[in-house]
Amino acid sequence: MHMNKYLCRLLITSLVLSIVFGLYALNYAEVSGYHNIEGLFLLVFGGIYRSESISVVQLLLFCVPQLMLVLLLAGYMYEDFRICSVYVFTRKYSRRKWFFGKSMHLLLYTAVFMLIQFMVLYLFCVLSGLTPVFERGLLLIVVWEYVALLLLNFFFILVANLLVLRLATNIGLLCTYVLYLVLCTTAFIGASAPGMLIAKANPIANAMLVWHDHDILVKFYSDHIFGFIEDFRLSFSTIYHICLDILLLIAGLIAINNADVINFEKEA
Amino acid sequence: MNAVEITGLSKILKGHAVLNNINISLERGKIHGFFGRNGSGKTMLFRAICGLIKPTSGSIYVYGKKLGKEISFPESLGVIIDSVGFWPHYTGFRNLKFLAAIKNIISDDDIRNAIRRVGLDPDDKRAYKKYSMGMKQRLGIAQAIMEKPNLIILDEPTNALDEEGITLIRNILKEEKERGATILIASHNKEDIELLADYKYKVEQGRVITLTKECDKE
Repeated sequence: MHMNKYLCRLLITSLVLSIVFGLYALNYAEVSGYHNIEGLFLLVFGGIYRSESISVVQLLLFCVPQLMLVLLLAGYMYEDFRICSVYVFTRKYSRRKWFFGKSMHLLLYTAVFMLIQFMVLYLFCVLSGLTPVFERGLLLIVVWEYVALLLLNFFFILVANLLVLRLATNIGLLCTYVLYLVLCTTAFIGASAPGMLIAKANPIANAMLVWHDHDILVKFYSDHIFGFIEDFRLSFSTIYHICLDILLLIAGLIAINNADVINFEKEA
Repeated sequence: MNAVEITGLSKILKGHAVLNNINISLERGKIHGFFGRNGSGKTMLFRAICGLIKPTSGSIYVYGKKLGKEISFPESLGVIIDSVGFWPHYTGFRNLKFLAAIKNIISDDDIRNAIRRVGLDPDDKRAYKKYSMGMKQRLGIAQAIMEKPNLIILDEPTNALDEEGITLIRNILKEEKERGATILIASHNKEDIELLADYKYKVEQGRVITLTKECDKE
């Protein structure tokens, strides 16, 4: 019943962000002379280039859509509780089915949000007459970025929903943002070996395509970056994100199954 | 087989025993009335039977199935606990239709009939947020009975109702009992318990005391 409301908000937010970022990216391409589709996708979705100082614009390009998405979807599961938890939870034969169903809705919303962003940027590129340098490379960039950001966003949205269910809306959201900030900050710890190890264990770092070591891709960002992380493989990061999301889903299933539904204001 | 069998049920919340070693058997097809002060544990007991809270110790069987093991919730249940809550921007009918779609065992006509039974108009275009307290309560009861459940649990069902509404709801509960449903009601209104309940229980500081048996009433 409330799916339409969420979908509308997601569509509008995604469109607005896509257009703003798309325009910035095109302008940057014109200024820097970086005229290819791969470059623009890396700029907008590839992550934050590792350097001595972090570009604020790149930080915004990477973080703002994720934080907006969390803000839009953090209360999705809680809304059932807030409105009619007793009526819904005494009709669903299994709390785990309810939670899993809601999680899949969140994954779907995240996928739609990302898809719009990718499609709008691609449209901007085509309308501006940009072409790919290497089609196989473009496919790899687009597909991997989409999957990585989808899984990363899903992770934070699920964390937010679980925290909101546990702690109430404002505190749950704040805790999620704090977690995001901590992970974002720790991802940038140094270029030393221990720092790189921390980066490899960090979910945000694992979603930064421009930090990864890949034969086809490095030539697209070797001019720009301070350095990618050696042996930081795309396959590792993909498996890492999948495992992380599955673990979080399992944790959520256990938590929701054992939670008390006391009253709608105190959540489960 | 009894409708509900509770053995050694306790629930500790923040160091306080809100339910304290409850042992009761609730016969099927009867109306069981619970009364007690605010904070005595009536609502917590109902929540436990609904599967909404996990007991600290003890067990609850509903129609022979153990809650928390074989089933998460009673399989055929209609309930009102705490304040009623529906989607504020939708009509009464649409609210019930959304809930009915979860189990998908009744038709739109069944929903309409349930709404009419409680004295509301199923074609009322007003959003739920425009309902009076009495109308909201009636819709809550319609929600509890629309799927013809075997077990009906009502916490303060006559709250906010006028005299006509109270009479109507009492008649509905009698009809549901005749249909074969087992009904648990908690009420501050002693008249509800006196007029309706086959068995009466007093709830005090998390404990349940059986006050009357059916033979006593006869």
